[in-house]
Formats: sequence, C-alpha cells, structure tokens
Amino acid sequence: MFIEPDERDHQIRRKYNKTKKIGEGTYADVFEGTEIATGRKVAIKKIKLGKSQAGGANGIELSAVREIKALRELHHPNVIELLDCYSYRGNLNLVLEYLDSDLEMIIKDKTVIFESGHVKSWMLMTLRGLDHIHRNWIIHRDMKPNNLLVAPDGQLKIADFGLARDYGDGQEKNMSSQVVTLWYRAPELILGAQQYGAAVDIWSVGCIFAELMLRVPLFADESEFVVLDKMFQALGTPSEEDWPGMSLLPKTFKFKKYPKPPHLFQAATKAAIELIDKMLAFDPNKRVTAKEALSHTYFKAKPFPTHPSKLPKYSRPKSDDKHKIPARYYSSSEDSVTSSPAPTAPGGSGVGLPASSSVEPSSSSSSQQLSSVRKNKRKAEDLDSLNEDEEDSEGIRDQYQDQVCQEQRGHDNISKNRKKRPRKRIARILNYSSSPNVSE
Amino acid sequence: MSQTPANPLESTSTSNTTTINSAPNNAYNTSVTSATTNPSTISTTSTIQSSSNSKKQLYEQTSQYRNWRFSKKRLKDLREQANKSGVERVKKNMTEDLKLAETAPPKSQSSSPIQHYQNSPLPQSLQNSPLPASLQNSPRPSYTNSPRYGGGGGTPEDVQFLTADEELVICQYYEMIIQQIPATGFSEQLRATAIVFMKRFYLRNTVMDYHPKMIMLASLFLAAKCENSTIGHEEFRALMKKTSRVDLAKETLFQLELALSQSMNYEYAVHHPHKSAYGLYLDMQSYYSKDIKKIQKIYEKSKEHIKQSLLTDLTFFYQPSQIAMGCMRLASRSPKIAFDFDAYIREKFSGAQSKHSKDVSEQQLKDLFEILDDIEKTIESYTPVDKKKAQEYDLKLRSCKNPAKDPTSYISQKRKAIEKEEREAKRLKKQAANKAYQEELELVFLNQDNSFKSEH
Repeated sequence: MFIEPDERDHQIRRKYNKTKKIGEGTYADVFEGTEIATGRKVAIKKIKLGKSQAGGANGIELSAVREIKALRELHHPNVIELLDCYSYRGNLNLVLEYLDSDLEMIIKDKTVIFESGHVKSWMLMTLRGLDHIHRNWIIHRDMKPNNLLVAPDGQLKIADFGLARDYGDGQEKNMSSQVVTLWYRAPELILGAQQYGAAVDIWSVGCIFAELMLRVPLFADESEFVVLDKMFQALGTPSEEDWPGMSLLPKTFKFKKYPKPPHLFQAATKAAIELIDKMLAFDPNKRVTAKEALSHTYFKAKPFPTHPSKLPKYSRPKSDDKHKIPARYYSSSEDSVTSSPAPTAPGGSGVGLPASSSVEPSSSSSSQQLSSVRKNKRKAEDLDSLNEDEEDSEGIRDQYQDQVCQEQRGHDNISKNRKKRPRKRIARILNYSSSPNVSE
Repeated sequence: MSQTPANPLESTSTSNTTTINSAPNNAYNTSVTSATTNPSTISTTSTIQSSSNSKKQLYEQTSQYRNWRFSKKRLKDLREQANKSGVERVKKNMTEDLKLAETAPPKSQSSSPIQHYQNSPLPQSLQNSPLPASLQNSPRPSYTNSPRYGGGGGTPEDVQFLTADEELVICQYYEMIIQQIPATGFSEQLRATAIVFMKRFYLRNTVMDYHPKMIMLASLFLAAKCENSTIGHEEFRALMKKTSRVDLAKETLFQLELALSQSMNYEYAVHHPHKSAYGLYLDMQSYYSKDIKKIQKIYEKSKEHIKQSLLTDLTFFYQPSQIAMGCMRLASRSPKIAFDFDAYIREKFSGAQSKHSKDVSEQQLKDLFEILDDIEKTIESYTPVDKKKAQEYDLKLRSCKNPAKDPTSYISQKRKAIEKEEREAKRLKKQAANKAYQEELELVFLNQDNSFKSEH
C-alpha cells in the first residue's frame, strides 16, 4: 500500500506520547515520552527549525543532519539508538533511547568507588561502540565522559553525534581542527591539523581511561596551550622521532622540552599502563585503533570486566534534577564546525569540582600534580557533604512527589551507608606511590 | 509498507542474487585492504572475511542496502503507485478548489500563482502561455485556463495528467542539470548525493505536488550539508539565481528541505561507486604493475561511466562496488584501451595466487559476470533526456499541478484560514486559562493579605 510521506510521519508521531519537557536548548527542546505500544521510556528531541538561531537559521541544523546521518546507520548495543524521526508542524523530532545518567556524573559522584573491573568494563563498552563507529568510517569528534550515557541495565552508550562526520573518503578535503572538547582534544588537533582520522577519538578515550582511574580530568584547562603543556609534562615532550611531521603542523611552535617522567599511573597494572600509553601516543599513526585496543591483553587479564548490570550507578541528587538530565541530549557545539568558535570547555556544573580548579596548572612533576588532585578530592568531598544537606531540605519541598521521593530516599540511604566504608579506600587509591596495587 | 521492501531483489532476472551480491563485494574487500592502506570503499573495513556468511556484511547494515534497494519491477510499481495516488489527490483537490472558486469573488491576476512555481526552465517563448485576455481575471483556477482543454471551462475529469513515465522524464532532466550546474564548490560526490536524494524523493512523491526544479535545489542544499560542504542559504540562493535563474524564497527552501528529508525517511548517508572504483584502480595496479598507464586510463574513463550510471536507476538495483566494477569493465573494453578485465577478475578470485579461490565458486563468478553485464548494458544504452520532450511534459504539468500546493489557490487559502482559526481558538483558550489562573492567584494573595492584616 502506498502511504504519503506526511501520513507516515503522522503515524510515527502517534506511536509516542510526549509527557513532559525535560530541557531546553538553543536549537532543541527535549521531552520525556513513552512508546505507547510498549510503555518504553523515550527522549524526544524536538529541533526548532522555524526560529532563527544565533548564527542565523540555515534550515535543518547541521549538527542535527550529522547526528541523524550517523545514527541512522549505526546499530550497536554501545551506541545510542535513534528509534524514529518525524516532522510535525515544521519541526523535526528525533526519538532517542531514554538514558538518565552519564559517565561524567558517575565519575563525579564521590560516593561511588571504582574497582578496576568497573573501569575495564566501561572501557570495553566504549571501545566496542567506538570500533563500530569507526568501522562505518565515521569519526565522533566529541568523545568525553559527558557523552557516554549509561542505561539502567548498565550498558554504556556513546551519544551526541552532532560533530560526527565520515572520514577517509579519499577526497582529502580539509576538516576543521576546532573539534572535540578541549580537555579531550588530541595534540594534532590543538596544533591545527586539518587532515586527521579516527585516532582523534582514541586520544579522547585515552583521556577518559585516565580520568576513570584518577577521578579528575587528565588535561583540564581553558587554554589550548596550557593543555598542550600539560600533555608534555605528563608524557614528555615528543621529539621529531617520536612524532615525525609534528613540526609541519600549522600551529606548531618551539615547545618547552620536558623529559619523560616516571609513569603517571604507577598504581595501575602493566597491561593498563601499556594500553593507556598506546592510546595517548603523540603520533596519531602510532596510536592504537579501537580494534587493536579491544584485543589488547588488558581486557584478557584478570580482573575481568565487571558485568554491566553490576556496575555502579548514579544516584541522582534532587537538587539538580531539572538541569542535569536533558543537557546531554544537546550537542556541545551546535554550529557548523567551520564557522563556529571552539567548542567550549565543559563547565564544571553540578556536584563536582569547579572546572578551572580541578587540576592546578603548572605543577612540574606528576607527584605534585597528584597532590593537587588529592587536595581537590578533599574539596570535592566537602562539596558533597554540602550537597547532602541541600538534598534534605529539598526533599521536604518535594513531598508531593511522594513516590519518586521515597525511591530517591532509598537511594540516598544506601549511598550514605556506603559512604562510611569507602572513605578509607579513597585515600588508599589516591595514595598511588605507597600502595601500588590498589587501583588495579 | 512502501518503505520496507521485504526482499527487494526477489524478482530480478538473476534469481539467486542475494548470495552473490555479497560475493564480489566481499572478495574485493580483502584485496583492497591488502593493496593499500587507503580507505577506498566503505566495505574495506569489514573484519569479516569472505568465508563467513553468518555475520552480516558491513554494507548490508547501511540504510541504502536495507531500504533503498529494489527489484526492477518493484521500482516500477513504486513509481506507478506514487503517480496514481498523486493523480487522485490532485483531482480531489481540484474539484474542491473549483467549488470554492465558484462561490468566491474574482481575484486579481497579480496574486495568482507565485513566481517561483511559475518560473520554469522553459524558454521565454514558451513561458508565457497564450492566455486569452478575457480569462485573465476569471475567478476560475488557473489550470482550467490551460489551452489543453480549450482555455477554460473544463472540469478536473478533463485534465490530462502526467503518467509515471512522463514524470520520470522530467525528473531525469533535472538530475542531468545537477551534474551540469556550473558551481565549482559542488564536488562530484555532492552532486551524486543530490541526484540520489532526488531519485528517492520521487519514489514517494509526484511532480504534480513538487516541481522537480525546486526539489533539485533542495537536494543540492541538503546534500551540501550531508557531504561536509555546508553552504549558507543566502550564498546558496544567490548562486542558484546566477546559475539556474531561480529566485527561491528562504522559507520555501527550508520547507522543501524538510519535505525532502521526510520522504527520504531521514536517511542521509548515500554510498556511491566512486570510492570503490578508486579501490579497484589501486588493486589492479598490484596485479599488473607493467600496465599502470593503461590502468590509469581505465580509471579515468570509468569516471565518465560512473557519472552516466548516476543518471540511470542502477543505484536502486546494485551495490556501489558492483556498479564501480561494471564501469571499470566497460572502460577497459573501449577499443583504445582493450584490457582484459575478465582475466583480472578470474586471476583475483580463482587464480593460483588468489586468496579467494576457496570461497568463490565458478557459479558465483558466472553470476558476477551476469550482474556486470547488466550494469554495462544499462550504461551503454543510456541516452540523455531529450530536452524538447522534457519541455513538453513540463508544459503538460502546468495544467495538472496540485492546487493545494499553490499558496494562492482557493483551496490552500481556505486551509490556511481554517488553520488560523484553530490557532486563534487555541490562543484564546490559553488566554482564558491564564486569566482564570491569575484571578485565582489574586484571590489567594488577597486572602493572605487579609489574614496577614488580621494577625497583626
């Protein structure tokens, strides 16, 4: 039977029920909804086309085109699923899987203790998803913990394809180097490379790997060159031998020479260190691919990756109920890559640390860096206890949501109980040099 | 449903296509990877070797393979269905429009059919259809004025509608134009994508609803976004004004872009033969290192054939890598080159050195050659659309356009009015609700105020 396109879109629209708005952004509103037939929760991202945007309307937003183009082709347990698309009254609607937490939230939730099996499991899922993306000749270009969503069953899903594009098309067209959130941006991008490939995503994953072990972003700063400096401090300034062609990149300059320091993650196992080194190789050609990383001994060695269902979950503090959830459905940089300014560094909103203070700049050795990390850890814990107080008062205000509230309280109690035990272990994990085998 | 053909290849001439379909692609994958590190085809990355048929090929997971692959018969049916339902819809709308016209007061000519729908690529002489002056201010919709049925007075039943084949000719004409538009910023790939977008659009729509010229522009605009060459609408519209003399309103462009996306099922990723041809070019060099000059010629020539293939329906029948191989084979046959392409394929798939000899049977090779033969035949028999014919059908199209898509027609004005009314009603309702809420709020504050006073 022949169905008119308009009619088909109406049919799709009627499959879902929009329940409430959970977020608003410059180019999209996000709604919570359900698939009527199954009762499955979904997120509906309504892309505003009629309203003119800051950069001037240009029809369907480029990042929306990119996201749809990529997600229509990608079907993998570790990639967010685009269930449907429809247009209604001149607006474009994307129906996505509903996922209510992300890895950033879990990393920042200091009540959660990461065991090495957890880290391994998250890395495994990230790399599996990324391998699928790369296999399809797509690069994500915005890998960061905030874009790794976590499903209720523990599965990790790569989301936000607003910057994704296909690569390796043989046309050798120049690409923008102003991609990927700065903290996770590969060195070749910071140096202005316009020809690059899947390796930029791997660098980001390497940063995420480190962040899962350290619980703070590895190379965090607001300036490109401080970030670069931090890389050199932590990994040693690369020589022309380490990275042939480095000096030919557009924004290259005479770097300050740092010697290769003793390893950053002394507490980790040999396999983990080897893998992280391969991901954070300065030369993109020497960096591992997602596929190679998946067959690395790290994933075969004990302890085995934790089953997704047994991974720690994020228990949501009520105070940022409204603002936190939807944010992840937006693209971090909405505009066209070529015309837009650099994607802004993620603001350290919510529970964790303020962005700029997470790692203090210009600590010349890794041990110094770690001490500052430790200091910040403590700060974060103080912040946490502050938040706890807030939660309680908030709880009273929210009494009418009794059911939700009760559930939440249940969570809170659990996490409070949990909190007492692990404090000591946090200290141990942070004390890298003295107890080498704790974090792995 | 039309968008998910169950087994799109069920009725092609080659009966067991599904099995061989993956064979050439497969075998070809591995060889390309071995020849070069360049990512030359989408399937090069496939980790599955040709022996494993259990797991799906990477290309088989693409939307192009899943949803945009049809048998020849199915494609014809789809086009006929789109045409048939279009004709019914237009007839219905015309009848309604006529009814409205009879009751409506005469409207002035200046407001009739908007400029850009009227602006067709026809030569000036044809553009001003000979309208009798007496009819210029007639309240009757413009299509009944068409000279086709005696210049007025006809009913929708008298209208001569375009057939599916005639529609196709007009579309193909504009697809050809896409390749010819003199804009250096549009890469070969971008144009190819725009052509495929247009083809997909008209499987579900009819030219009576959307003029192909408009869809051509929307396709180019959207393809630019999809192929990483985004262009601002102002620049794009200026370019189109210069190159194809269409002054397109911004809103119309955006509207059409959305309609186009909708009809394509929001599937923006399109795969073309170009990359596969490049991969074959590299692979052949590794087999015949002495003939590199010849192979270079074959590759150059094959590009022309690929361009032609885009203007046929091959994209709906075969995989990009198969089309590329067909184009290379055809190119190597040209008398100036005379290269034995079949020998290369045999060497590759069943030669002594071949890695695939175990996996590729003689029957599969035979099937492959059959596919290639069909591709080559289609390309060889391709003839550019006759411009005169396209113009003739375009003229015919003027009398059978859907009045609901013409913003000045009675029917669309009525629809607009109804919509406006609905919006107004909704607004009033919201206003009333707001007012009631405000009053209630005031009451609460008033009470509070009173209680506050009484307490102190």
